[in-house]
Amino acid sequence: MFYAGLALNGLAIGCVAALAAVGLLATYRVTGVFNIAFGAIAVFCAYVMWQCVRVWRMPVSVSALLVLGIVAPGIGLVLERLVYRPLRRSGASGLLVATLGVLVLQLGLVFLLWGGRSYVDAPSLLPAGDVRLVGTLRLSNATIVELCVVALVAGLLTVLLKATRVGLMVRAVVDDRDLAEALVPADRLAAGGWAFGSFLAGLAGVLWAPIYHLDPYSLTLTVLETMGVAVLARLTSLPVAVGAALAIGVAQTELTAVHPAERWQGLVDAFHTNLFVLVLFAALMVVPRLGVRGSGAGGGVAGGLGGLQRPGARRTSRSDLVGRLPFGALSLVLTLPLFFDPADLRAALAVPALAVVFVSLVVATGYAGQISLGQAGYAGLGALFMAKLAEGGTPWLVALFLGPLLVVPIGWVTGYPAIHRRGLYLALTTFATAAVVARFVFAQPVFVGGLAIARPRGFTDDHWFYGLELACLVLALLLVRSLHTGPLGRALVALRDSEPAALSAGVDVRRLKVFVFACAAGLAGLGGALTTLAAQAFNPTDFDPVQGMVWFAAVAVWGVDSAMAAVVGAAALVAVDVGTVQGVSGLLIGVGAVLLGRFPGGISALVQRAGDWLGTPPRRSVGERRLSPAGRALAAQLRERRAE
Amino acid sequence: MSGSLRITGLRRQFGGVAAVDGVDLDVPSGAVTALIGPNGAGKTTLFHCVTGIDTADAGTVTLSGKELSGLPPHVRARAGVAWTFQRIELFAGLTVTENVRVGAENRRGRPLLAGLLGLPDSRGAATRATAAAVLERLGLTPLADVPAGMLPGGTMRLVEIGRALAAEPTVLLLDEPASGLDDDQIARLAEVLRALAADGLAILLVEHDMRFVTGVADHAHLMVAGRIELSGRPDEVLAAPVAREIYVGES
Repeated sequence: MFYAGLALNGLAIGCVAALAAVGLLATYRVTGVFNIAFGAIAVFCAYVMWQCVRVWRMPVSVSALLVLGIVAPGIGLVLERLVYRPLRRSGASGLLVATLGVLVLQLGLVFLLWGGRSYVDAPSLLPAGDVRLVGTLRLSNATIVELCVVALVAGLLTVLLKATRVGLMVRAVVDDRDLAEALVPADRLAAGGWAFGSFLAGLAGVLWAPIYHLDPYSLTLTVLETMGVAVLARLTSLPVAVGAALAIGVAQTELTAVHPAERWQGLVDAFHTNLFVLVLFAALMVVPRLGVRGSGAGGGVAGGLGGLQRPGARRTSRSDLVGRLPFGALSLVLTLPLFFDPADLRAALAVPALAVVFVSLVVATGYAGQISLGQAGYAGLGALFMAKLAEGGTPWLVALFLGPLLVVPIGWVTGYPAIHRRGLYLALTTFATAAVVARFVFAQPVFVGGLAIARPRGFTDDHWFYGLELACLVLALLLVRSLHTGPLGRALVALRDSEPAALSAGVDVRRLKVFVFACAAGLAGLGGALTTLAAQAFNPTDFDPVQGMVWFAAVAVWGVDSAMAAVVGAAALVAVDVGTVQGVSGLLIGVGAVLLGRFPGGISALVQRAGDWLGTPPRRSVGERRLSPAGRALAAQLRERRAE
Repeated sequence: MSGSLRITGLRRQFGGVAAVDGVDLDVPSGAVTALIGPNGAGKTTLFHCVTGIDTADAGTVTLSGKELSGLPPHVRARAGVAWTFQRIELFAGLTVTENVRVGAENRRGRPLLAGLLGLPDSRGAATRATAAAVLERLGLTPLADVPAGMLPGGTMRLVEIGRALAAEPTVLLLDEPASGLDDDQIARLAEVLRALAADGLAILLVEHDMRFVTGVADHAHLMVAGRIELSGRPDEVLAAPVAREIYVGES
């Protein structure tokens, strides 16, 4: 009876997860986009609902009609028209960044409009009370209604997609929108799909908020965690997703009844509170041959980073004076904080540390072509290793570099399974790694309790420490430099431009990818260690997995190809965070990420293009300046032929 | 005849269909061997099984007696198999020279750490010379510093072939090398291939341009529905009734 009671409690948890999973999958089935922002849309709708009922004193039913009938579908329509339609050809990575952008944007809005405050008085649509089953077993009405909603949505959608004409058309649009356009009203169907997907998100949010607190992060995170369920269902089977979500929910509560020996209790607790994260991680490691729409021909050509990079962008360094000018200006600007007043210098300490993390993202994503949402995990590990080494008697200055070095093998081990994945699954795998590390290491007092952080001797003063940070940043940039010059740099460009051709040239693609990924992990570790030293405390929130997503979106906006843009981006992010209210930076990054499809390569590419336009003498194409007379003649000939 | 590249009993099935159905093929060194046949005959699948992009279900591939079956593509490339793609695959962000150099400098693995630490590459001069020689041979020297992504299709093909040659391979597999080339370029390509064969390279090419095949190839094999139907001199093979049915019957 006790276990049955627990199971019923678990059902309530599982129900909520199932609702999120069904929403995610349904959106994916009708739009072809795995909407990571699902949770953020849900949160936004829940906040609007709260605003209507609690502030504007509208009746619950009217508010629900407004939120679910107009606001939620409206968000979907706007997103489809402004974000996803222009991006439909940009492949999995472009879409991923856009959905990330929507997530960051909506979170930023919530922070801006409601100050990120959490409320416990979210209005409930569901009937209160419960139903007595047998003996003392009770099932709350809310759970029953939720179960019905989940079953209804899953059932209806399955029938709709499999057995109706509209369903067939929707499937055609999801499969190949360009092709389908000729036969069916693709734009209208896609818009309908998005409206429906957002409606489900809104429904999940509105049903959810009264059960848990209404706060910006929890729902977003829960949805991110339930992605494991979606992966188990291979992003297709709705019944499998519902079954898995309910099963995990039940398993989670049953685990609370397990009481092993005292010293293992912490671990068991970590298991039962984080079962969804574990399932996400395990599913990504174990489920074989996960395919995803959009990562095929369209998105896979440019190393799987369509939309993130400017096609055909040159990466090998140009060593002329013009190329060095911005670098000189940048180093000048970076030394400026040394002359700031103490409070501003203290704030500026975050810049080089974050810049090192951003540079690590450029290495992982821009150079190795691996989308990494997991840099926060590696950053935190670098900090933790440093602190542990120092605790063991290693001088802080040595530990600062040794700690991040220890992250490199971890990057190697976790990068290995990741490189077998592409696009969305790769992103999810890296995110899951960071989430597991955050929950099982950073959140465990066993590991992070009582850590004393002290700056290396001689660098305790903010001025000196800032200097040390700059030195580390220079070191990171030097490593990056050797990653884009010489045979190694050429091999990496080769890998990015055409993986099959790189293989044919004898490049050990897999080893190279893992190597660069591991280097990036080490760099992130260095950035994390610096962050911790700057704050003189280990704050787990600095290394939150969602933080990793924001970082990735920020780097994508500034241009994944450019280490220098990453440094500027880090400075800008810190400046905006310090100088404005919470939410503005998220809003800016979100808008940038959402628009990225329109300017591939991000801000750095825009600047570069502007520079090219200003700097080149009129009408002499790129290669020509260095050509011999014969070559120039040939190039002219080529141009003519192309003009024909 | 001692084949430089020897394929024996190669099979590759997709579902119930055998795309390559027990093929035996010798690609001798010092000669150009052509593989012809209608679309869907399994020529490209055969290529993929030789290069390691695809895995054969049965059969062996040996290069100068060394077993290649089961090795990943980049190891086969380093062992002396070079190939080009039916759909052009270039490194658009690199110049023509750099494209070719990538082919030259990855023949042997170099410790990745050495690259990361920025140690000078001891083979740098040698690979630069190799790349320059290959460009000269293909008539690409004037375009050496042009980004490969800006070239017209035919020239891209030549660069691709240059990249393959820069690895100084034992056998060269070309998947429709003449498609997209103009007449001058085709003539030049034929001349280059003849010269390479004379230097002892084993060349296997898939081609639909029959004029090009008869002009350049020493041997031809007609592949139909996953099997080699006919082998011999190019003109003989093309004159045979089976081939005439396919090629003349089509037009």
